[in-house]
Amino acid sequence: MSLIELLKSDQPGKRVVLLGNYAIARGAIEAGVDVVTGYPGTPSSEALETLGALSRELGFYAELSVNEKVATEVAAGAAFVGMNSFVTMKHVGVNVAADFLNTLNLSGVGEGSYVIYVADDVGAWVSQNEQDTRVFANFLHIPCLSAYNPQSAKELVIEAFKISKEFSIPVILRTTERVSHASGVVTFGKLPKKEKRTFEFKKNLEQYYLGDVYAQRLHKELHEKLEKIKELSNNKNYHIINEGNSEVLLIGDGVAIMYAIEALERLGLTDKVSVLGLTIVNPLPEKLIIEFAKKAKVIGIVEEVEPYLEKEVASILHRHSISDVKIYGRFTGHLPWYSELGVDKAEEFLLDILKDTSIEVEHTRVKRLDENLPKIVEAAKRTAAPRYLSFCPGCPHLGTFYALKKALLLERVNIKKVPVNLDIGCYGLSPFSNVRLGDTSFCMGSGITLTQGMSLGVKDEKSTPVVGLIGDSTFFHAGLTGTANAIWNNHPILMIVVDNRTTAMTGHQPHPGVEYRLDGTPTKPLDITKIVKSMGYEFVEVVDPYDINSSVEAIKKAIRFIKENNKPAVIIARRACGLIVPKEEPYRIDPNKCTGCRTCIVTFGCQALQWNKDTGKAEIRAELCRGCGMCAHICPYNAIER
Amino acid sequence: MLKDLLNILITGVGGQGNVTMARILATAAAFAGYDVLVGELYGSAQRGGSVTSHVRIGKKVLTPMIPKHSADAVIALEMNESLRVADYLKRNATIVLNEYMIYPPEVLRGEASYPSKDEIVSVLKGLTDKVYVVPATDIAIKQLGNAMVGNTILLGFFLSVFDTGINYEHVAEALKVTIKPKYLDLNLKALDVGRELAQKYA
Repeated sequence: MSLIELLKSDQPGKRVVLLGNYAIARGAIEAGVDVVTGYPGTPSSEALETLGALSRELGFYAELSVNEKVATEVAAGAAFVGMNSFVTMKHVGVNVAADFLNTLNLSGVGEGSYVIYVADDVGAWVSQNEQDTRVFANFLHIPCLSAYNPQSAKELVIEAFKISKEFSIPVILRTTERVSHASGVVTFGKLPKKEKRTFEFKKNLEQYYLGDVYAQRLHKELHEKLEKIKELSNNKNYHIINEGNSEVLLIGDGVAIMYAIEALERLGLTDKVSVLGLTIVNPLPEKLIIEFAKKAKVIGIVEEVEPYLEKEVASILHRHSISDVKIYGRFTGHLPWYSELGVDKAEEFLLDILKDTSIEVEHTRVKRLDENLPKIVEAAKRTAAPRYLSFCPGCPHLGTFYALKKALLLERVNIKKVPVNLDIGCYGLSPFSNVRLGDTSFCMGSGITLTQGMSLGVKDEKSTPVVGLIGDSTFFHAGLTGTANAIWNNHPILMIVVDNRTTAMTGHQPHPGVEYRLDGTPTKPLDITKIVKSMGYEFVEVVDPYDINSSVEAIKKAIRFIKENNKPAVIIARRACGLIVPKEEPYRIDPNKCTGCRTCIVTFGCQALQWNKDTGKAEIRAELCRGCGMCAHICPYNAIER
Repeated sequence: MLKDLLNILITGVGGQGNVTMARILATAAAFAGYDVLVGELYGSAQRGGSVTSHVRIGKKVLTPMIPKHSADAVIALEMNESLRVADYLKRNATIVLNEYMIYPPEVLRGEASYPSKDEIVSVLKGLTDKVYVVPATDIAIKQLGNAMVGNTILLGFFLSVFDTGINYEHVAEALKVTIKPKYLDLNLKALDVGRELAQKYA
């Protein structure tokens, strides 16, 4: 049974191994979702993708919205007419959506329901920062639930819909990658019966007109709702609880508190320490926290990213005049301010805070390490060859960057001085590739706009034009405004749209530039070339990155145009991601022609190009080669052929 | 018999099918009656970087990431990658290495060196006697005509040399729900090839 068949099967009680994101998608289906919107972002993407694949058959609507702000707004409109809406995004998507969410909290969600699923990338494995959505939810006055494994994530999606409906308020489900990108055993619930419903907008200006006289009253009502949800959150059934009546209490949420519970087991302390693992983290269950804190002398707060619970618990204790308790966490230097926790760090934390208590620990931890182990591990790490991320075989971006570098050099631009601004997407890997081009990377859409600012100051012939790159999905998400700015204010930049016909880095979702939507239905793609031309750009050229020589010529022409006219130019490097087109017959290197000069390996560096120590020549690994043929353009001896 | 907790690492280079292999093993474990959690250390759509899957199976599994010095076994789809996870391994862990090397760009540019097979094995032997080197990708290409089923050969081998409490039937059942139907027979064949190879080591 395929994943899609599995996820739509109505078999309550069935146990399956599911990725957290699939469990979350299943939760939305079990909750009776009507409308799904979102923008992909690791570690959240599979939830949106799966719901898109299931939507038509199961009778709900799903779209990939152009960005997170649009996604939250479309979903809210649907909720206002009575539909159950579900929005998905990664943590930084909340920044984009925040403008709208900071008003939706006031209006509420009408007679529908509204759940936003946000996956935080703790450790910034595939993101520009570590950002804590719990803090954002608290600031937005939006209730926030926190999941600790795939099963809990599924259940909490359903709970979030219930809370949203009951109180007419948006609700956030916050996970981290250790929930969303972990696979675990999940038990299915029932699928809802699909009834034919009709929807209507019940006009109510005082609820939906934000501003003027209404905003203050809505603000008051929002806090009244939150007070009621706070009462609800005191229900112990929501949380993971071990009422040990111990002098030591651990408070935490998400996978962080699970690390601590596992650490307690490993140290043989399960019965000796009380635990309050929270699944509702905004508003916090104040009564419950007080009830537990009163019995404790030491409270350890186990959480990831920000000291959110640590601050809030301290404030709650202060309000209730509880002062004879010590709180340990980030502020006391017991937990790191960056990266993920894990069982190891939780163990260290516990051993640290237990020093001040009467609880004795048998140091089982020490037994795991014998004298020689650190030396052997050190030797292994030293022996291992380093391996960073690189472009996949067949990646058109590698061709684009190679051509850009060559064109800059041929036009006598100083590679060491000319700024090249990257953006969010696979092309951001360029500085780590053999081409080694690229100087900045910040957030969606910022590459081309930073470029404009730089062009105000960088004027000398050898350091210009300043270059900004943007991906196709990113162009629609946050690049349109920056593109308009460059032409209207006439910044003489070289803008390169790397159009690989998909949202590649998050797992190949569509975007407004392609012929199909999230649910697979055909649509008319937006043409980036026409958009840019209609804005008034005079130099717009489309190149094929696989055709490296022609790409070099076009970029050279663009550079000259910018310098001669002091106007911006646009290159659109268009070629589908090598992973979404069928693999073609691999290329091979003729050993009689290969001189072992290493040009292909050193200046280009596709993963399929490997070195044969025995022959002293380059070779192509057939099982890795995608058959793109770019390397054939690079070889000075025409040794690469098919 | 079901174990209390087993920690198994699958490590390799992005694009080698590491995540699929973890899913097969986890699904088989669930069929055998285990609780399961799988985590990935580094995971994204692109290829070429180091990727490690943490497969945790047991009567009750709390978190998806294996603590340091706690892995009972590692399957390395690429030889060099086994070294990088040495700090996760218990003493006497079982190590199954695919005799397959992908030289990273740093090595190809001559900025770093790639260890020889003997160097890798000798370092790992410091940790455990149970180091197995299996030319799985090579056999997959030569005998079965598809490099990707090298992983299934390794899995068959691994399950024969390491007692997980998971039966062959559970694995075959897991392959049915995780592999595209047209590749099922090939994978079942690869599983057998791996099991037969393990007999030679016994």
